[in-house]
Amino acid sequence: MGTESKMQHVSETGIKTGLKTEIETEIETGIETGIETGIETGIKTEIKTGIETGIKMEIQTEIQIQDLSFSYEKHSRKKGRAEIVKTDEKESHMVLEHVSFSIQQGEKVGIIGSNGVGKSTLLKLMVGIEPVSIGKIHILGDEVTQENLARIRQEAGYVFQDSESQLFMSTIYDDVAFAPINYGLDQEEVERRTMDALERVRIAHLAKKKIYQLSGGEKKLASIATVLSMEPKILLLDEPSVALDPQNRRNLIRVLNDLSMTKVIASHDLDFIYDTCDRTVILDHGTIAADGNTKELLRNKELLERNGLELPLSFSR
Amino acid sequence: MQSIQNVLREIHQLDEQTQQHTALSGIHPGMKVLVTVFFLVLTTSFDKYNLTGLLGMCIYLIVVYQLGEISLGGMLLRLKELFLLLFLLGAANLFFDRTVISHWGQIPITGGMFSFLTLYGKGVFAVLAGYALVSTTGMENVCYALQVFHLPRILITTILLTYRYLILFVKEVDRVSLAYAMRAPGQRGIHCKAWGSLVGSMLLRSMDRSETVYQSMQLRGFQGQLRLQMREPISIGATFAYGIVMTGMLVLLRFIPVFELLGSVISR
Repeated sequence: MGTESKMQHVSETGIKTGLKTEIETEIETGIETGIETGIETGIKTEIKTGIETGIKMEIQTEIQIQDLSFSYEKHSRKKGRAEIVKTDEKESHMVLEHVSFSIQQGEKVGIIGSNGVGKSTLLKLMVGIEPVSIGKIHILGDEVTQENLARIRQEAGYVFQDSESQLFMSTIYDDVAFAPINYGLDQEEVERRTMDALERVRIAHLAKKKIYQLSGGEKKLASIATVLSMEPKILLLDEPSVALDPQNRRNLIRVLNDLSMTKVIASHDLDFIYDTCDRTVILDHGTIAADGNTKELLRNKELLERNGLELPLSFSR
Repeated sequence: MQSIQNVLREIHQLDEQTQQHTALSGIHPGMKVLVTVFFLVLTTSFDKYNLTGLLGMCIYLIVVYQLGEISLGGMLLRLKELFLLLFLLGAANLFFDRTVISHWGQIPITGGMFSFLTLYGKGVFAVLAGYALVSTTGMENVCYALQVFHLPRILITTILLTYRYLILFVKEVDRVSLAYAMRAPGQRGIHCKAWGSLVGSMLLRSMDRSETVYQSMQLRGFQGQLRLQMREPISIGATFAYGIVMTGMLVLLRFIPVFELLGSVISR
């Protein structure tokens, strides 16, 4: 091999080595960049998906009840305070036992069951009238605790079974305006919300009436208006159809069906539940006996009878 | 039983009275409260023997009852038990102050008689003025006026809630006594043996109701202190006119003995 050919060989080797190194470096860099980009994209996607899922969950799940148990005998005596007091379940009679379910935005849920199964208690626990002892309740993402009660009560309006207890001011207007005034709204906003709430339940013409001048049906509508003036996202109603005549009952169904927010109605008036709710939860001895489509559950005679209920009157005729 | 229902009816009538449109409707409740307090201060400032001067203050009450379209006769009848109580409270003066200060024919008139009548008159006037204020203004608006005067919120809340609690209590008394009467036909009143359990039951029920009402208030943002707003239209001109005229009239009535002057004019 001559000097020329040697030089050529050296230069070829040099070029090859150089190229190889360059290629290797390029590849390595490329891989690294690719990995980094991949990781970044992956993380970004994951974060994005996480945020989206979180937002979606927050928007869609308005009420979440997790492993809830409750007993009247052992909870804190401090009324109106949602304090976590762990109790031994075996020691006392449990009104609710390991109840878990969630309610999505816009759902209309009926809670049914015979007397004393814990329907009203469940609603009271949701707004902190009774303290949550075992388990958790989340309303619009906030756990029902003493610290969150003010916000929760503004978002979830509770209508008492006894309208007389709901209405305590002298006129309907004053009663409906009570919540907006307490939330520190200015007079114009108070007036707007009050009249809007009264119009939604179709009793705006009774605004100046005294509470004792109202009929039972009007009192019920007025008590719903007192809660609507807070513009809640969730409406909780405890036995709304009790002591109403057929016409007032029909009117109440129409009013409730016109309200688009999430509704939870505790009642043993199955016809009323059939007319107002899409989903029904059957409670029996403090536990969930069934949870499903209202029309399917309320036609299931065997299931209803097993849980101390009967077919709605409109079916049994 | 009838008497409890009468009490309820009267409370409702008082509520309805506040809704009537009268000459006093457009006046700010704060001014009404101020004028009433001024009346009470002047009325209580009369000397214990100055009965004729005190009687002149009744002119203010007549004017307010006329403007507020309240029946003065009906009011006197409605509050007769309270006036009887005031009578009994003031009667002690008859025994403590026996100094003879005058004679009416052969009958000696003691200082106790004068001071009793003056004290009784002051009590009756105070009750009538308070009633006129509540029935022309309404309890909520009176409390709103107190809020305007920056009285402690907790005091205002207590006044209004006590008023509401009394109504609840009367309603519970009505329910319990009606339930008793239905199972004790022909019995007048409530047998003494049943009083203990009935009173206990009434208290427990009214407390239970009050607690539910309180829960309802809490659910609607109540945090221990009521916030009140005025929504009836207020006439500033009428308010000032009322304040000036009434204050002027009260000052005149306090310092000019109307009935003495009238008496001297008639006796001439």
